[in-house]
Amino acid sequence: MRAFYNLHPSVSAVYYLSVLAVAMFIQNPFYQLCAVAGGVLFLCCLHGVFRCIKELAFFVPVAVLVSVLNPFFSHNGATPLFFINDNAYTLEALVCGIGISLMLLSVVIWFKTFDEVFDSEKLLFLIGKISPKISMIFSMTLGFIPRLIKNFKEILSAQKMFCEKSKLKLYLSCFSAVVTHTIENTVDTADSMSARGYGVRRLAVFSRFLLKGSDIVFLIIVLSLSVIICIPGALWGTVIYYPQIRLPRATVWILASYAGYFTLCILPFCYEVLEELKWKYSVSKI
Amino acid sequence: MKSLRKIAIVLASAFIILQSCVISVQALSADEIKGYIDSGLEYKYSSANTHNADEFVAEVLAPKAGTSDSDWYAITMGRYGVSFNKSVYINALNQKLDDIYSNGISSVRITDLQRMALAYSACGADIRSVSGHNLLADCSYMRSADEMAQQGVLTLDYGLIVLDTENYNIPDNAVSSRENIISTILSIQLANGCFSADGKTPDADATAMTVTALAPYYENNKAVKVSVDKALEQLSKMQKSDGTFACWGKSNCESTAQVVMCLSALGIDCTKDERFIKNSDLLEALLSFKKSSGGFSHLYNGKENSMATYQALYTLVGYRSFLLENQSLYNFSQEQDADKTLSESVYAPDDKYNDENRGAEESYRIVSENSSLENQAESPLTQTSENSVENSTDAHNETSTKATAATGNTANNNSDINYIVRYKQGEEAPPTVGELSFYQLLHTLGIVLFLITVYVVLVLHKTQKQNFGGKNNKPKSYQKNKDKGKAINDITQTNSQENELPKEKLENKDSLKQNRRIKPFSKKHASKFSALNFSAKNSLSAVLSVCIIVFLCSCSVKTPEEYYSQNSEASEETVQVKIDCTTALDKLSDDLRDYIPTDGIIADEPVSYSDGDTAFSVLTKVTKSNKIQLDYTGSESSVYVRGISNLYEFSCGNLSGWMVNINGNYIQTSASEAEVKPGDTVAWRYTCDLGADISNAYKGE
Repeated sequence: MRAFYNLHPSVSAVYYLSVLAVAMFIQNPFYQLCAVAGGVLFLCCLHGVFRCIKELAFFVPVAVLVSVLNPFFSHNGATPLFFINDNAYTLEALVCGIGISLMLLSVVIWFKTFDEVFDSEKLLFLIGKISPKISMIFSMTLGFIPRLIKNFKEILSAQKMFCEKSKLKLYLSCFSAVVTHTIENTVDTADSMSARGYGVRRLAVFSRFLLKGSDIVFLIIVLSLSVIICIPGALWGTVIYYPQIRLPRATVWILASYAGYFTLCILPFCYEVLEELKWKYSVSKI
Repeated sequence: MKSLRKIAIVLASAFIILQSCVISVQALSADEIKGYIDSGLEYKYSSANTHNADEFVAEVLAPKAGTSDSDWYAITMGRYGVSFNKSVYINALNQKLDDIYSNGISSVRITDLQRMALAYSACGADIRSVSGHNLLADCSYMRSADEMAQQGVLTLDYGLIVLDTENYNIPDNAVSSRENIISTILSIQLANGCFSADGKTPDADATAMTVTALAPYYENNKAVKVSVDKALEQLSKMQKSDGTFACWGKSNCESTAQVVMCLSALGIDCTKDERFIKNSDLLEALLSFKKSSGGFSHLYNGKENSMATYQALYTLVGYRSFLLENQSLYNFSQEQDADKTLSESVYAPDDKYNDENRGAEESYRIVSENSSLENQAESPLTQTSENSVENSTDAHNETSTKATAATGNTANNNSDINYIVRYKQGEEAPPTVGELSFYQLLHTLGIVLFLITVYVVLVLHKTQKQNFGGKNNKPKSYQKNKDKGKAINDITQTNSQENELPKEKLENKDSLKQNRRIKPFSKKHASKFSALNFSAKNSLSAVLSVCIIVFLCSCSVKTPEEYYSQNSEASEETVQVKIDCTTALDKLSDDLRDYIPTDGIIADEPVSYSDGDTAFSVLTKVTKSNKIQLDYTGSESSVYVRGISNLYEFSCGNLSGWMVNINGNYIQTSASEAEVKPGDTVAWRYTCDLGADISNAYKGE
């Protein structure tokens, strides 16, 4: 299931940007439902159905809880269902809560897929495009943390066995040892970097990603869909919840926007399925 | 701990039983009402030395047919569904009617004719043709509204009621119509909203009877609605603290009964409407006049009184029909099966025809308190009834049943959510989930959560007990590390045992292997390990569920009807409350047009003052009575009003919001700390400019 993974990072980034921008900034449950649907399908492609369900089993109740609790905080709305402590628990606030929770859910699901699609190399490439220095600092920080943890564990186990100290003193001494170790290490690193000529010239960034034909096709599709989606969506797509629920009028543009966003969300899933079919077809020919 | 488990089970069952008792304690059920009616009728039968309804009718009622005393019992028994020989009574009435017509119908009061018409209908006769006369016409639309008004407001009321019993069509040659009658009634309403029998002094009976007559028109006629609301307001004020109503200063059964009737006619449960609950509710007050024999007395400590008894009885019949079918007493549109009980028959809008009789009889009530009253009261009425019976003219029948039922139903079902509370006894069908009050649902939720916590606590106790003692209960990882530590210690400490080292190592390895083997085979250990982890979660969930229960029970949950019907007690002192958002009118979004009037004054009315009222509490009074949306945060001492009538802060810019002033001085504290005095004017104003546009510019501090 690596078709989407093999896309060029900038194309994937544009795709994610367009999906998430609409999901986060346009308050319309239809968009969020499309995002949830597409995200769930893509997640099933990546992780397998059972694992996907297990992961979502935590977030769905949280989303439901958010939607049910929203009216306790927002008493706006024209139809009170009941009054709790003399404040109205209204239907409109409930529906608004449902919209918010859907948005939460869609964002969570898409970020799960983002985690799968974008490994550190791609992220570094993207950041490097913006600024190589930031990319270098980012990668160094990312590498630092496991090293720190490993060091800490070693020192802790050594001190535990051979030094008779109370627990607090033990941890404190380990911590100070680790910090000292790190600082000395950085001095060494800085020396070696300057010895190898860092800072003399502009930083060069190597990336193994090439822009292929399929990437460009994908990019064109995504950009055109975004245009169709975003313009009507931003202008007319917002749902007004208070004081009465008002959905956007079903004009051609809005419907086209919904359809476009649905295709956009379904795109990775379809891409993966297409590649899988192609693979199976070519294998069956053997 | 078996004893602890037993205790917990006993506690849980006690809790459940308590809850069910709480839920099942409701207002008087329709069965109890039936009991009272039955005992009242029994009293009447036995006091006249008769043994059943037939004897009673033949020996007591029929000889005096056409008088209020007999007619009303016939009406009560007919509507209640007592089976008796109706033709006996109809024949007696016919005789009376013939006498009246032979003397001319102007010789009797119109109310006597109307009452006889009701008695005829209750016994199943068609009043358009009784003994050859069209009684319907002669007591209603063939008498001009002015003539009826001359004889008192009760005549008009009963005219309307007779017309509405079967929703008769009025022919074109009629002298008066429903509209005439209604407009005449409204025109003689007194300034304070009451009606009066003599045209000057307001009295509860006449007011209640008029409201009863106007009840079917409450929904559809704005003028009627306004005047009935006013009348109900006045009635609420007239109610005494013990829940009764008085006439000439003395609390009596009939006045109380009339108010119960008028509320039932409107579709309001008199035991639930806040306006009519003082120290006790109306039904309790009415039943306080009941004697142990089953009859009712006129005053508290009097003897049984015939008029009081029949008025109380038909009131109870009417209330019971309201409980069971949401119908009022006076729908004669369905042919009553003699053996049918109330629960099986459908009643249409209640039109009580009491006013005339009551009005006439009242003047005699003050004379004495004992039963000689009845005799005195009867004489003029018998005379009037003889005259009024003969006036029947043609009447067209509309689709009477359907129309009456429809108006009755609309009157009952589309009632203003403000103060009409639907209360259905689930005798015919159990209440659906939608009808269960929220408190009941909360109680069941509390039971379920309580059971869960009890179970959780017991399980926790069990697992804790089993986890005591033994190295084997610790997870494998501890074991391994301990062994490792032991092994290392052994190595460092014992040099002489170098040869034995491999063996020890082997032993340790074996023990380690054994430990490894233990895990998949013995499920007992596995459960203990999982129980150990589970117990932390157990306690957490127990604590959490207890917190949730406490939180839920501490909140007050009300349905919208309950919330909006929380009307404050009427009192003389008032505070003027004004809510205006004129500064925001041009900046309103289109959605708010429905909720904000075009002039920007959302409310501007006096509210009654009670002790300790603050600017915020008077605002809640106004919003509750006018069903204006209100959003506020904060507790009692620090309330902040975010929005009134869906107009929220910051909706007209960053400097917009609600401010409040008392007599022109803007308050410097929170609204729930600013006390008001009676006579003050509290103005809630919306500003778009941090107060600058409502003459309270923020000057900084």
